[in-house]
Amino acid sequence: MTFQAAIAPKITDFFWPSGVATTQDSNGKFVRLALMTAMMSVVFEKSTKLAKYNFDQGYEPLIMLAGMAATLPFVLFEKYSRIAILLFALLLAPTVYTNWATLANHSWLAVWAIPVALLFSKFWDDPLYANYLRITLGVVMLAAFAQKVLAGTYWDGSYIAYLSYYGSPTERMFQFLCTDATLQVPCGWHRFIGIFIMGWQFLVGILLLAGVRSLLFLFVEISFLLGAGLYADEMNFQVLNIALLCIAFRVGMSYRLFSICVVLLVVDLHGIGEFVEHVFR
Amino acid sequence: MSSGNYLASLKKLSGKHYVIISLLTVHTSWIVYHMNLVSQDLINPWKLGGYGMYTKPSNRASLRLYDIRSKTEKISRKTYTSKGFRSANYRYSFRCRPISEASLLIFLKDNPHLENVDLRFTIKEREFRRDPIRTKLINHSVTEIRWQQKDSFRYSGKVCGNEYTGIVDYKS
Repeated sequence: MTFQAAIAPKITDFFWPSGVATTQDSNGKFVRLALMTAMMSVVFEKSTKLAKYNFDQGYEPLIMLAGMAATLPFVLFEKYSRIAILLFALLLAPTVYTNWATLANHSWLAVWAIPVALLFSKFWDDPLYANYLRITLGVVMLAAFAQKVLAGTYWDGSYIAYLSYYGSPTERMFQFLCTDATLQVPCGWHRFIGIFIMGWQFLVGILLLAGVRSLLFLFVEISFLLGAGLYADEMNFQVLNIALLCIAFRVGMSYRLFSICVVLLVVDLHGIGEFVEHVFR
Repeated sequence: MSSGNYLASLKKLSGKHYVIISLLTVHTSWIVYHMNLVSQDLINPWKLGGYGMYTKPSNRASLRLYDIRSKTEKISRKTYTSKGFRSANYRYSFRCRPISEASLLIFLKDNPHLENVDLRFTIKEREFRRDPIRTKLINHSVTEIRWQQKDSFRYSGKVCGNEYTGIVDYKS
């Protein structure tokens, strides 16, 4: 028995229903739940922006957001799923149109991923949609890797050293590994973390493009995304990635993973750093 | 694969396949172009959908306004609104784009009490430094407007080494 055969089913049972969805069987509801979670991450991301909004300028953004939130439960029903996605996309479109220059990468990934489901009468059953998401996520991972190479701040560990001293409370979690001298010349640990992050993103990008759909790989990647979200104190993008990966791997999202994602999105409204500080205070 | 087989397999593709292939091509092409723009420091890597966030600290570009009629005096942020100006300049995502004439007009419309006041618009950015590792606030672009008569002003500025100038007939 291989390592993967021996270990993967046990650790992944926590996250996925025992009957893993494929394009042929009837676990489409778990795939629809994953897409709903992806859409929910967009709603949460917009709601944090709305907290700073001046309502003297009108209530349209609030109404749009409420409309987007209202479409979410309908994605779960086979009969209404497509119309719910259409309404969601139509309500998202004005924000994308007016704020295209300042839109977060999270929103751009959502734009490239979610409305495309409309092309398919049953997106949860269509391998083409899953493959589209798999390739898109692979390209995004390689893009993130290439941008880091271009910046040169991960090779030398300077960005990790910077975050360790000037970042948010969670971003400072690796400060203890080095002394203040890391701000002059990044220490070995900060360089290692920078190179590891780049290497992992490159590997994930290649494996996704190569079509690897091992549950162990998915489990490790989701764990990595959760860790990265905790570190950067930014869970929206990670939840979106996780939800889209669940569709790309054609396994859907279990209720347990969904619950974890909802909790993370709620905590993210105020920031994990603030939450941790509040708990320890 | 022979060219005949290749063409035969292409014919098997549905319309959906072509749409998907087109989307992937456009998305990937934009990412490559985005990286090209980032490599020339022309755009903010955190924005515009190129997945370059967390590569360096966000530059947090922001406006500082000065009254330059006699001596240079900073104008308190509480006394003016810059939302329209910021939006008209795409929130400074395009780093080397000159401050537009339209955005200056929007600013004056939003802040009528600053009409006929000679002003300096300075866009400040945080720059990532490694000597030692830190960020430093720098003046990224400077644009000045000087009123020639009551109804017209002359503007001049500099961004990314490029200078620009113009005259605006304000009331028309």
